[in-house]
Amino acid sequence: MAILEVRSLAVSFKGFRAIDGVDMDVERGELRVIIGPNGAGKSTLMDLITAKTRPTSGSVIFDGADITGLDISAISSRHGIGRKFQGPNIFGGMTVLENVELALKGHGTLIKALFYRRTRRTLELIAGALERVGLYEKRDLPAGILSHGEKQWLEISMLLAQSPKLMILDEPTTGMTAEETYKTGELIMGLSGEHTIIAAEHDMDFVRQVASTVTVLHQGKVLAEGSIADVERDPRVVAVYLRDDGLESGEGGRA
Amino acid sequence: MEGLLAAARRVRVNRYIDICLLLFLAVFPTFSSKFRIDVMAGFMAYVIFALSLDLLWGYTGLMSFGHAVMFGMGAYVGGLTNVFQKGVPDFMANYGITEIPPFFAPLTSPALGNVLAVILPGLLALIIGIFIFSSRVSGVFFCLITMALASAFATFTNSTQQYLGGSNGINRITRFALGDGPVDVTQNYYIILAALVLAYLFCLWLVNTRFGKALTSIAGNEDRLRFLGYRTRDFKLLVFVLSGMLAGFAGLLSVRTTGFVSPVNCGLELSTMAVVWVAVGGRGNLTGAAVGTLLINWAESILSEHIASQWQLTIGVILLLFVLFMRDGLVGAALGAQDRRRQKKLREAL
Repeated sequence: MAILEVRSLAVSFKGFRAIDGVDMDVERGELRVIIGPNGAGKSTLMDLITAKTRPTSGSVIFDGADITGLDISAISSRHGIGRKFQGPNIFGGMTVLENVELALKGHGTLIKALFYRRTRRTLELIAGALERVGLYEKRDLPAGILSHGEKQWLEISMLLAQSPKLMILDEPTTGMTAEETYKTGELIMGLSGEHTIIAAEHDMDFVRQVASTVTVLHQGKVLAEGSIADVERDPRVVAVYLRDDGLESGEGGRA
Repeated sequence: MEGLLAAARRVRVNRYIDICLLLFLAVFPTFSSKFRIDVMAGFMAYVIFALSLDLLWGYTGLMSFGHAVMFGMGAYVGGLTNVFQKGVPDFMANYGITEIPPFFAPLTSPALGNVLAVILPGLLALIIGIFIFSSRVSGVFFCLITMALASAFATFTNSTQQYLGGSNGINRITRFALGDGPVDVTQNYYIILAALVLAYLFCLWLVNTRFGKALTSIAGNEDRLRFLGYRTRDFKLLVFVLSGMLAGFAGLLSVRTTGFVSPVNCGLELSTMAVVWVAVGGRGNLTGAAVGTLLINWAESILSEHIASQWQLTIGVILLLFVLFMRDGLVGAALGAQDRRRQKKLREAL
């Protein structure tokens, strides 16, 4: 059974239909990549799933519960959906460890936040999340001085500290070097299975590397869905998105 | 010895300023006139007020232009409690009121009255906060609403002649009593200093909890924190209430030191001045609030003897200079320099 069911989801902003009747099923443990040209609605779709935006119509069913339009904090704390935004969103003034500590699951209520104590158990959880992304050695550095790629990994590590059932990653490789992008691909592949992951990406090298099911969005609609090989051959996809040889050069949507 | 030196170097620079400031305040009465000691005691109450604003603005990013309402409320409740101990005050008697009105009955008990001076501002903050934060008011709209609140409260106190003394306010309020009768100037000074140290330690504890880190993160990126599962609304509400209570506490201490309270103590002017104190000292590190408050107030006290008419203008120019050239304030600039030096070392070590 699918862990995430998106049913005829639609939203319009002042008459512009940013998402226009999207249906999508994501299986438990799956790694789904969403591609599409700029303005296709990738980020908006993620906003709708994580309740940042309320849909005009349609519903989002996660793990059997209707989560359409809930409070953002409940999406994370009660339903276990973690989201990483485009570009690093870390708290630069705190250390790497403190960033992950702040993200640690189950301490987000007032009382727990006031009387939270660092224990061996919480430190183990933090260390585990940092080791997954290879930042444990840098735990005491201020997060602000990490490199761009490291900041992105720190954010993934913050998601891991939430032990989410579903991880939503908005362009996790933006601004990374080819080597960092490759490493991120390895990291995300390692996390799939254990976590269900939805990633929006532009970088076709990354998409091919993680080689999972791909959903192609175009003008707010699902244009095609399937393996990367199927999608690459689909003439409609080629027409709107991959026309300019993007697939070969890997520079397709990086406008 | 070397370990000790290394540990001392790790301490942030504002902790040293804290210690120096505390030592200075502790010995201040030994070389100062009674007048100066009393003035300084009033300023220390203002420091507590500035700390309460720092929690709200410096840490959480909620810039209030109406924080003097909480301060004024604490001062009025504390002031009334004090004058009621001597029966019906003159400003009420002038309106033919012969006994203390029933709704003021709780203030006839000194203990309850002083507690209410802290509780009621917190309650007001709670009620306003529920409206403000559940409708997601933030940024400049928070400034505007709190500003309107300050005007409304000052107008209310101004026009409530028979119960709050109108524009004259409440006068002849005595210092705290210890044993038989009010304490003297120096004793009062040390009471306020002790209260300041307690308030400071409370703030220091609060901002170092996970709650405090969440507050800093609200200022930085509130949405990010919500996606991490935090109900940020609750966090903002609690800090608003705590900050209101602390401001009320400062008002209570202030009124028992200066001996009077009037609409000037709860309006836009004092609210704005508190913003200036915190901005000049530097927000978000507690030390800055204390340094800014003491510097600006002593400057005003000393300079206004010479340039009374131009003081407001001078304050405006000072604020402008800080906003343009030293956005982090004095202590903020020192901390920034220390951080940059450390980060440079860390980068070189990597």
